[in-house]
Amino acid sequence: MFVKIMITCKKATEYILKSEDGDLTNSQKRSLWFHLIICRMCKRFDRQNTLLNAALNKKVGASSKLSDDDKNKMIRSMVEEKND
Amino acid sequence: MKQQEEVGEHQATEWVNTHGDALYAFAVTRIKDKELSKDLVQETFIAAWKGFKQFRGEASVKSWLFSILKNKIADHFRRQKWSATEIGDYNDQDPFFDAHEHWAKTTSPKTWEDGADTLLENQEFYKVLDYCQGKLNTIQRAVFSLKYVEEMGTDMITDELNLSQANYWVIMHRAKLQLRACMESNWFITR
Repeated sequence: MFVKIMITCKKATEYILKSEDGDLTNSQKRSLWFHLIICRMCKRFDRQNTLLNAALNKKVGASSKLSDDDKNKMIRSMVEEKND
Repeated sequence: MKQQEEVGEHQATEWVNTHGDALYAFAVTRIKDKELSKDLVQETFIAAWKGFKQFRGEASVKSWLFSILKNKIADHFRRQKWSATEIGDYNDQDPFFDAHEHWAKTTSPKTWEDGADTLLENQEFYKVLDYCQGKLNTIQRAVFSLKYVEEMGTDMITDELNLSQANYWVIMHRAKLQLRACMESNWFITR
């Protein structure tokens, strides 16, 4: 029983990410909870991941724009198409 | 005849100027490839242009253009076979964990000193975050922009990118490990 609850750090970090989706089974939740009590590194990963999520959610993506050249090319290609 | 041509050009110009940037931004967010995105937008305009007679004006030109582009993007992802190296495999030996799947000494998480409140207001921090996101591969970046920019759930993302759930989690897991490590060495440790 005890052995079964032990998960590796690789597994624990995967569970941390999946838990954001509420995707863990009860036994996975227990394993993760237990792992985070005993593993300082994964506890750090968990906190740092929360911080990165906040930053990723807040960050405004630079909106991509077409250059005038791109636009003119598109207009040309449309006009040429119509003339065929 | 000449007059008709000018009307056509005027219409084409209006479409491209009004909708071009929005269509392009939509494509880039998903495909993460500027040239390919431009090609798809151009194809979208041409397809819309040729099919203009079929367009009855039931929908707006804008939603009509977007529906064509969405189909083209979906086709792209259906054709695309993500390579095993891009997705990665859960069982791959990666640099973050040792043979027992515990944190490798050199790459294990270190303490981050900066408090979150001030950090999230710091423009410099976002520049480093940009840099680190830029180091991710195409599929990782596509997953990130759908999740964090488009705010899509996992099911929608796997649908749009034609990925299995298992592949999605391998991609997300690896991407987060890489991003965390990159942020640590380029922001937290160097300070």
